Amino acid sequence: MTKDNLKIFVHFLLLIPFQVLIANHLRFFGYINPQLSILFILWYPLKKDIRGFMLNAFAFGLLIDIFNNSGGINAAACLLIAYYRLPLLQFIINDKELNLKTFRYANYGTLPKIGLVFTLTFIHQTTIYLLEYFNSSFILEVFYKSITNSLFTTFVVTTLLAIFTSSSKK
Amino acid sequence: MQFILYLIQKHRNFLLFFVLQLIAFFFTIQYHSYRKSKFINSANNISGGIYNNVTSFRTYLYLKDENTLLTKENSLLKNQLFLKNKAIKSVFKDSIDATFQQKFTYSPAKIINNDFHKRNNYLTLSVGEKDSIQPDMAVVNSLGIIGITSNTSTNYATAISVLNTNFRVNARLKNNEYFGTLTWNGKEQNIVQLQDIPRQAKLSVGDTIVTGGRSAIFPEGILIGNVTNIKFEHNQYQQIDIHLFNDVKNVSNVYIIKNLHKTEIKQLEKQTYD
Repeated sequence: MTKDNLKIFVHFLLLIPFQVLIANHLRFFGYINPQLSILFILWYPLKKDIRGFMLNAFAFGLLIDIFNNSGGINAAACLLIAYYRLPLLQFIINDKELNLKTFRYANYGTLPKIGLVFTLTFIHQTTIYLLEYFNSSFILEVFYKSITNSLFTTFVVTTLLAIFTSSSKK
Repeated sequence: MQFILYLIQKHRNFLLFFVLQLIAFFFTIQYHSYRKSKFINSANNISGGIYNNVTSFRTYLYLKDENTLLTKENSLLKNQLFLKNKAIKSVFKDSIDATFQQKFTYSPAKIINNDFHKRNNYLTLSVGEKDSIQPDMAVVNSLGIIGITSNTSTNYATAISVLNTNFRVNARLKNNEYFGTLTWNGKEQNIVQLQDIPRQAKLSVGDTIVTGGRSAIFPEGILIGNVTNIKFEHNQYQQIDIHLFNDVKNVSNVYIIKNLHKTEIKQLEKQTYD
């Protein structure tokens, strides 16, 4: 097992129980739960070939769905942000020739990080709520919930990123 | 042919993305069809087992509330025992509800996972096929209805919560025979809605609503809640809000009711319609 595979396996093992047993039961204001799936997507090794990444993100989402009894909602949302992670990253940090091997979140300022986390979370949350409501007459509620949940998740995830991504890796 | 292969090769990332999204979409459609999420549910040994272990720890925090509820239920049952001049053959099994002439068995269960912040909420229960739990059985406690079992595995079961927009149950007013359908609009977690009540039914705020007994799942007369808001417009009831007696957010010990006559009723109905 390579170092990268081990890292992915550990993320699976830690993030899924943390999400389904703790984060999903926080329910601030009745519905706001931080979505730590974003961390799985952010921490996944950056590569040009994203097929393995997509399969892992899909499996990660589906495992959360099994615990949540929510069909394929999380699988769809995780897969979507996995597919668009690299283009979004290149767009937000404005670097088309990004060096994938030496990339570290710690090398970039707080603002681009918040921008990236918020955009990914917002896409993730909007997908989840759109698929959960599955009804266009609730569109305003979907956006309201997506935005509030994304703001909270961005705060939690950026804090965790700052704690667990050491700057010594520069 | 070569061109097609070239196209597949070129867009293989997108194709994989598309296929996986289709699978996720298929599971999502299943999730939205009433009790059809056969593949993706928490009634399996891994998620059920994890939830069970965590719940056995968490229940210690609520022992006091649960004890109070059980003592209240015990005193209620004891009062009923004294009031009834009937010899009850077995307290544990085969209780015959003399008021409504239906035959049901009650078995205890524990809720090991309870969602209530979504629009379609499910419960995971600590009992399964080995405890003769099947789909479409009523889940209740002493305060009223909680849900209906949907998927089962050997050791665990999932149940569709009363707080699920797909949940439907026949309900009626306690003081007269007018009946309607109980649903949830997905908004407040303790308010459900009563629909299809005929306009001639006299309703007032505070009226008690109980199960109607027109389904083969719930016995007649199980408590639901009381009326909190009535909207009567265009000579019809537009919306009737019911405040649940149960706080579904905080339930742990429940009963699962099996209707012993269900197969007979279903068979008879099928023969009639055929």
